Amino acid sequence: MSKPADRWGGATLSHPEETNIRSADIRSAHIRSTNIRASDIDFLIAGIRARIPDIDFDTPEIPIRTPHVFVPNIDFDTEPEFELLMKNGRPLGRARHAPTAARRDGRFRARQHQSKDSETIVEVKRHGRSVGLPELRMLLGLPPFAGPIDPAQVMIPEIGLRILPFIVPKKLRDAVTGDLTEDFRTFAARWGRSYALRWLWWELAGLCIRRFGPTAIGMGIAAWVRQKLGL
Amino acid sequence: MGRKALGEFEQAVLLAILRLGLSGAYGVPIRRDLSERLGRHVSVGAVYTALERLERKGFVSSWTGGATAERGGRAKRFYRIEAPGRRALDAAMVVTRSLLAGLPEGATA
Repeated sequence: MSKPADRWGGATLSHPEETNIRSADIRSAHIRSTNIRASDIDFLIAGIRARIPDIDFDTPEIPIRTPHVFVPNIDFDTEPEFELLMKNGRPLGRARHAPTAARRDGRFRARQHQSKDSETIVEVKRHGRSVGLPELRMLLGLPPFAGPIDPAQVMIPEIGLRILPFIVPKKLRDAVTGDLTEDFRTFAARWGRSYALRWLWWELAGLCIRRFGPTAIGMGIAAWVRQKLGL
Repeated sequence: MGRKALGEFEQAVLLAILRLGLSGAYGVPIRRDLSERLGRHVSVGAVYTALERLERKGFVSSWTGGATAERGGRAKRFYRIEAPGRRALDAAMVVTRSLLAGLPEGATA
């Protein structure tokens, strides 16, 4: 299998224990969150298998990109037998950032966190050549890597999802978020991502105005400007 | 106009719900149907504001469906028109017909 260029993706591996997880202890994995193309999942799985030979994977589902946050990482290449202590879901001890060169080489990195049902989650990511700041690009809804994107896997920008709780009543939040996601994907597939993004921001602005009213928004902006200018 | 009278957009939303039926009347198809038939952009906010208002008036009821992958795991909220909604729609149609009655032929063309 040839190494694809310009890919950035990840998988989530789960482990039922809470502390002192070693990579050798991980026996099962579920491809839960990826932002790579379906054709690259095999590559991702092969890469993880090379480091954890006995691992069992669930049947990969349609990849769904979910927001990733980079926290202290472990480089599988330099620490194949990694050990990480967990406390209150936060990694302690030997977590470290992988060197930039390793990211560019497309190595795997991992981080641990704890899910709601007390399961330790190890996220493994493979970095291709990153373009700018992947986290920032994802936050702004821009593609996290250069190269073609499968429109079916385009996700609504994370910042949009973060704004929604403030502008949509709780009862309708799931429905509105789902509708925006569905339409965003449809538009991205049909007319391109930039059109879908413009549409999304227009919709979010509309929701914001409906929620707070144009006067309230104007007064808020005016108050902020006055504060900044010291008036 | 009474508090429970229907506005033009509310009428359009109720008719869209009727057209789409029980299994299809959720936000996305309602918005698309309205955009197509009204010939203009209809925002998600406008649709949900109207639906919320109609629900408050007791004209429609809603329930949550299952989550699907293409919606990022978010559930759909389906809408169904209730008896007061049908009555309000009928009354609005009667009013429209009575307003149209007596106009000279071709006056609205």
